[in-house]
Amino acid sequence: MEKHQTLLSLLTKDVDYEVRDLVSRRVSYFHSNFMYLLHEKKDEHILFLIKQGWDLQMINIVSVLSAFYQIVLGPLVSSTHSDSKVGLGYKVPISYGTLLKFNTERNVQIQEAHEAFTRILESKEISFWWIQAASANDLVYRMQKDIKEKEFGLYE
Amino acid sequence: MNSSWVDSVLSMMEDFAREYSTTYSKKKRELSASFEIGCFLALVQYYEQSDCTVNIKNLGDDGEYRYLTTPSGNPRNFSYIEFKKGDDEFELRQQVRIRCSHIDNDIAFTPDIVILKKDTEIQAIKDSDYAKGNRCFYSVNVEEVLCAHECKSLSPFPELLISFLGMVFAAHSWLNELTDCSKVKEEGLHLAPTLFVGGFAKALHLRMVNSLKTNFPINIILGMHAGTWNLFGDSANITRVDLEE
Repeated sequence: MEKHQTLLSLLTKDVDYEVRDLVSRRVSYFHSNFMYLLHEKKDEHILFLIKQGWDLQMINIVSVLSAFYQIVLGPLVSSTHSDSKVGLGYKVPISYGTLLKFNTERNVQIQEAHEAFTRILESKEISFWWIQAASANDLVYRMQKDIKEKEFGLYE
Repeated sequence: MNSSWVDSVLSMMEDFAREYSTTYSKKKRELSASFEIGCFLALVQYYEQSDCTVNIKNLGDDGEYRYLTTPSGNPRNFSYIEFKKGDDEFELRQQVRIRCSHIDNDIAFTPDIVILKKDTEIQAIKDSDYAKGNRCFYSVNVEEVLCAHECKSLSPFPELLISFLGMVFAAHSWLNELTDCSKVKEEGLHLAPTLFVGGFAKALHLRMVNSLKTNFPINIILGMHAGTWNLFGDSANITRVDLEE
């Protein structure tokens, strides 16, 4: 199994089937696009990344983290940002049906998970903005742009 | 470098998953609900920051906000928010069906979040074509709607953006036509009908988003997952509407 698929499996092993399928399909789609960009289009941006030491395996790893964030972690974190004066979502919990409760305890758990995730990104020099990419092209573009800015100063 | 970097990421993410998978392993419905509630809270904060007084109405006996999750529920049994600013009083509700009587009474749909005039009547009608007449079909009349908003926890794509225009047209009787921007005012109180989107757009789609915002009285707010939560202030670049009669 390729290592990005290993990463996908370990992040999503306990996740609901529908969600795991969404993440998996996004990763697979991105992978196909990376292959196209590299082998058929000979895209200058992905070739630049390869030249800078970012091989396809590493780029696929970033795409797994991106898919996981956008489909799983991002939506969860969405509900924890409340700073409402009336305390909605923390002092005043929100009951969503009988099973879901949005309260301080939940917010803290999710924010801790989010902070742990972003710390890992930072430690491996994976920009949070790469993770927000809307497509494989977009991801490659963002990566090469940041790396160019970092390595060569201004982005041309 | 490559192999050790990859192995390092795998190792760290394995630890992460071990510690946090019970926190993040939710059903698809809960992920959508989380996003919708995030948008709902952002809107509440927007009105607070606009100097509206906020009153949470119809809390449960346990002091919790009972969030209506489906239009088949009776909105009278669920919580909502009441706002007041000067003479303006209005309500924020969720999952309330709108009957688009300005077009035809048989047209009805449910936006995720709706701003209504205060004390809007919740109509409860039995219809043999709905649940065999066994349950009430709850709705509000479109004339009571100030603004309706939608939440989509995904990356934007053209068909999503265009279909939002249909919702805007159907939900707002104050729109003479879809491109009617006569109510758009910088000093307006309400957010124009807004599509909250979790992901960011590709460059081409971003141009489409900007064009839609220029040509229609709407907002399309992108990147909510990444933290676009403050809807107030100049940097938010929000379109507001003035709906005072």
